[in-house]
Amino acid sequence: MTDPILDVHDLSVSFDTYEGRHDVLNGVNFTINEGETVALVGETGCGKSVTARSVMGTLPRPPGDITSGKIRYHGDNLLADEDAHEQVKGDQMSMIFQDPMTYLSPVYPVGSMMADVATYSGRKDVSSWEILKSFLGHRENAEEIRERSIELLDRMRIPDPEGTLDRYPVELSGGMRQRVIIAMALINEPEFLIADEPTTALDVTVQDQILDLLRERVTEQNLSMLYITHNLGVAREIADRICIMYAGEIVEVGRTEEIFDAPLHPYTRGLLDSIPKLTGFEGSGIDGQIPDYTNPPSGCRFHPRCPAVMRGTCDMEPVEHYAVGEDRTVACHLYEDGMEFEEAAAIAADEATYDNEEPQPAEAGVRSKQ
Amino acid sequence: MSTDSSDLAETSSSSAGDRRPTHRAMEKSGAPLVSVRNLKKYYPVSGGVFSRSKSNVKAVDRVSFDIFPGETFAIVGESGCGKTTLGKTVARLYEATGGTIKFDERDITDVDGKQLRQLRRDIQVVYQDPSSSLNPRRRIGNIIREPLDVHNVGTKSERRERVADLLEMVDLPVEFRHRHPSALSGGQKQRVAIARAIAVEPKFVVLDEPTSALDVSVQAKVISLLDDLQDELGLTYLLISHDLSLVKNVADRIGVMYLGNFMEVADSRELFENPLNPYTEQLLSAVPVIESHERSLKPSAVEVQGETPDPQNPPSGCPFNPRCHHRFDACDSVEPELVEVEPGHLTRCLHDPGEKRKEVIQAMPKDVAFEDRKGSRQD
Repeated sequence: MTDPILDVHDLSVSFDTYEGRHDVLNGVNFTINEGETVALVGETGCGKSVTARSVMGTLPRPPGDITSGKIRYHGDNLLADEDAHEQVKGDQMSMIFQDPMTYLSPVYPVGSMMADVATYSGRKDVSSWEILKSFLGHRENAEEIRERSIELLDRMRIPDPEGTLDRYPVELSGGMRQRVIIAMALINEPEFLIADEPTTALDVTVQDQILDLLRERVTEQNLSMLYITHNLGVAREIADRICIMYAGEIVEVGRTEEIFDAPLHPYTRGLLDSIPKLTGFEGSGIDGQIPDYTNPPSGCRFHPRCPAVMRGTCDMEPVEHYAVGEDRTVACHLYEDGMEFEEAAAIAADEATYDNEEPQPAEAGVRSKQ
Repeated sequence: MSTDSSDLAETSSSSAGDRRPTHRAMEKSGAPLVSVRNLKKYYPVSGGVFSRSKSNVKAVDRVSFDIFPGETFAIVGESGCGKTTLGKTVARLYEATGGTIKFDERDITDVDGKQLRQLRRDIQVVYQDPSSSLNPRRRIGNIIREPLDVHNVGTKSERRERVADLLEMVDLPVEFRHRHPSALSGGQKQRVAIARAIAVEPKFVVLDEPTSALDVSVQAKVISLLDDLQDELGLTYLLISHDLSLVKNVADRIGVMYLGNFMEVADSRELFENPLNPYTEQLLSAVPVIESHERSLKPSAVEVQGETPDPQNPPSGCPFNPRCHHRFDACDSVEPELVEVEPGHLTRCLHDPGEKRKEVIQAMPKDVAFEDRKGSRQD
């Protein structure tokens, strides 16, 4: 396999607050290969956005502090050289945000914001003279930028793209704003996209359309994407691989279908069971709540809520990532390194189940066949 | 679900004229607990010089439905479709612009004073965001006791005991009575809001997106709590939600709302297995799935398109016509009515695929028969 485009290795991030030091990220590892979409899935406060911001270099420091780890982009460690990080982020990365209204200025028309991104992104040597000229409407290659913007908006299936350039964000609907945000992210032809819950604020019908468009762009331009979401259903629609995150740690990584068909980590299982489905709803949920980061649980961070907790092991020994089968890692003491997938699935069905009633050992077997 | 023909004729002048009554009363045992007829809630839009009121936004427009004792009736729809307004109007938190609301066979549309106060005991509301619906400066015990104080229930010591019981009913430790809401997690706060709602033993609870602000693992717990309480206390719920998968599992009957009115009303199972309205089909096909076999429940080959139009300026004819995948000529001129095409299954569409289509057309008056519907509008 070729080298991954992004390799996040052992990333730890802390925040200093009045309550003390919060160890939010604790040794996060994941990779994204070229042309691949990886979804980072987890509940509120599990560190998804902190991870994205660290990669994007927009983590507020202080109070944030990257205590250890490497973020390698095409093999170069971005954390070692801030200037290089700035350069790479401007030239090759783009980010799509959750709430378009927060990230679009209400006082500029769409076209002017797109032109600014096209002109200034990734540049540090912009003179005041140039800014003044642009502001007064004498931008170099203004025509070209306008054409490119129109083409992009058109590809995002915005009706009347030319007219949209002269509109203000308030004149657009939520779905249209999100399309503009995506068009803006694509204007400098990045090769790596970070999408932070881009469809969370939208209705399902609009979400469906935005996901289709995003997938289309990603395939057509062979983009690599880190997609952050709390919605497993959305992750299933868009991602090739999924990383499940809990309390600042990645607990399970696997190909999308595998994660859904045979979840291994007790947290993943609990999460999947908690979601109401068209076919049924167990309604079991997971007891307890996400831990306090100033004093996270020892050993496995999930052990206070885990139904398969082993006293003496899970609460003492720090957990490692065990490879189970191909392309699958799980951070849980139930599994051993190099375990066969079938064996792991049987253990998962036996131990890591949230049914209060009879355990159903056949379940995992049925699921894994699908 | 029934509507008098006179009501229809009076309110549907924009649509197909004097149509014969097509809704039959739902054949359910017993009288409905809540019965809503032609309910309207309009908001004035002001603008121009002196902020004159220029027009109305029809947030809820001619909505009729019944809720039977002990059932969960759900309203689903996208943001801005009027589902929260409908819920709050039914709970008498908003004044209705028109129509009637009956509760326990009593007209409550215009009750006030002492009667309204009594009504507040019977109808309670749980809101979406518990952080803003609980007073941050009061302790949990006081928050739950407040409705008891307001309605003068029991003696002081009885109220204290009742608060402890209520906390236990929602699976919270009794010590929580001394805490402030800020010391609780989102799920715990929502439990407090639920305890407060059931404190005065209501008959009917409006649940306005009770779990949307919560994580899924917590949502599951809160939903099963609501379910248990319904069994235990014989509550009737009006559940407002945008989450179809949740509604499918929780509700007995579902109304799919779009731009102020229902597009389809049916039993939960029936709605998902046999959706008749194109809007329901699009909603269903947009739901992201978790399990592979959920896909078989989604309508195939339905392309989701468009967005909710501006409610100030709704499309003519069928409100859904600009987005509809079954759209035909008459859709932008003739406004369809909610018609019962199967027992208990109502849909609002001029054009229904397959068998139902014939029935819908038969139910239409002659002058808007299939071919010359367009012409009838121009006459």
